[in-house]
Amino acid sequence: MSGLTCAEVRARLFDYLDGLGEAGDRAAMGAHLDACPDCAAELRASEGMERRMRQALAGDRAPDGLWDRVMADIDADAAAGPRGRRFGWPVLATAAAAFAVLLIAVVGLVLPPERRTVPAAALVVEPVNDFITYRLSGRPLDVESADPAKLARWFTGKTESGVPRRIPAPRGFRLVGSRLCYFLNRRLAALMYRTDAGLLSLYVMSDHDIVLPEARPDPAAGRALSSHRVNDHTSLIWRDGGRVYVLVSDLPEAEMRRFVHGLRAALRRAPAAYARVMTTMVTSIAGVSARAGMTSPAKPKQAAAKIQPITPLAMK
Amino acid sequence: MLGFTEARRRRKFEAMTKPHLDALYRTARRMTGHAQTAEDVVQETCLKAYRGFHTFQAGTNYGAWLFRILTNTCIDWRRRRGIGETVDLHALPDALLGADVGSATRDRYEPDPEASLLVAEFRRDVMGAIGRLSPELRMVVLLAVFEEYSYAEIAEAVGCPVGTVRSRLNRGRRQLQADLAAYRRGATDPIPLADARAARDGGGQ
Repeated sequence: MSGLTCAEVRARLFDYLDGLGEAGDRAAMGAHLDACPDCAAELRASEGMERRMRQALAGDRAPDGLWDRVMADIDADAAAGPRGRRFGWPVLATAAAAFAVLLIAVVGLVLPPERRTVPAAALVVEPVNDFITYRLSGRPLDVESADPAKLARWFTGKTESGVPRRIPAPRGFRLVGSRLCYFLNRRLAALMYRTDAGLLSLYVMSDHDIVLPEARPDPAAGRALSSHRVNDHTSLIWRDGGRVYVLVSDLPEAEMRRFVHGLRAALRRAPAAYARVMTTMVTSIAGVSARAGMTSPAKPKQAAAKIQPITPLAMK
Repeated sequence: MLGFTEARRRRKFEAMTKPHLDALYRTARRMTGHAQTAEDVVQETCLKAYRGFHTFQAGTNYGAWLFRILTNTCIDWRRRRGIGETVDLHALPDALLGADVGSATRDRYEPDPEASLLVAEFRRDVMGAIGRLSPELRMVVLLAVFEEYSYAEIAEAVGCPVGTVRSRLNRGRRQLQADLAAYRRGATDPIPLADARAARDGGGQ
């Protein structure tokens, strides 16, 4: 039975074009194509079409400056990274390298092989989506309280970053409670604030494996912020002491900036005992509250084990 | 100051990766349908590649290795954004002849304005057809037809067996041909499209 039908030949045309297939199959294809001018024309047309498509899209280039941004990311990552790749003196370098190799070998067995980085675009969009979802659902808060210390206690061990124990409510904004969220491959805290005009959500998360959007200095806030408009909402993003903060609301941006400025002023008003820590805001508190929370030895370990990046979905 | 090892690693990475930048970008651009997202995806891909640079095995195909990271990054991106199957490369203004892309394409000398208009239209329709492929088909088609990678390299890049690549490629290329049927010379196609589709979806495996 030498005869392949035209449909069978059409189904394998591209294999044939690429020189694939068993010798016997190829011979049968060849025989059909020799005998069938229609299929032969189809083969030529398909081949010609692919060539034209290739020509039409050939030469699309990356935008100028993309490579520079790639290397800037890498340098920033290397500078901030916890891997300690910089060795001061040559003498120490050898020892450090040997130790690093050992450490990588050990860590490599324990940790998942690939760290999953959250790109800036997701950091901009996901919190806004969460805020909108929360508003649509009318769900209650996980904790209703205006007491930051109580909220911080509740979050201990529940998220990687924890919540600063003394994060104050800026003047004119009332802290009403908090929610535990999961997105951007991590657990994070949403502190909810109210004004007479509306609701704000301040997301507090660990800054590992997150790429932040480009930020502009905001002198009144005392730090660089980036601001974004998404679905009629505004998000302000900044990093502070190992945590990333995202403030989301549908209030005017000026009002939201007032919140960030107020946060700084409120920190300045913080009790003297905290003053030193407060000037750097949560930098050191992150460590303090994390350690303070580790009173029960079993719990944090458990939590740490649970906070793992999600494994990627395989392509079907 | 960077340590010696780090500086060498950085130089080596740059020398090996930079030649793939255009291919990574245009593929990401066609996978996501969005110029800015494509830049993010490429930056993230390169950062991951740098972090995992020591796991790359010399002698294997570096381009395929990079595209594997790009493929996973695109999957992540789609999952996070809850993006549907197809990307409308058509509707986005920057897809039109590439305001963001293609100095080479854009600047190519076209003596005949009508011809260049036709080229632009064809290009737009090709992009549209690519955007209508499912992401699984689209990635293998982009790598095979437009980046001219081998089946084995594509299998490595998308993390599936060569047989799967082959069948996806077959479906993807046939869909492209069917989508762009209007551009085929000679309207004397003996097998109507509907039959070709039936053969593709039904028995013709």
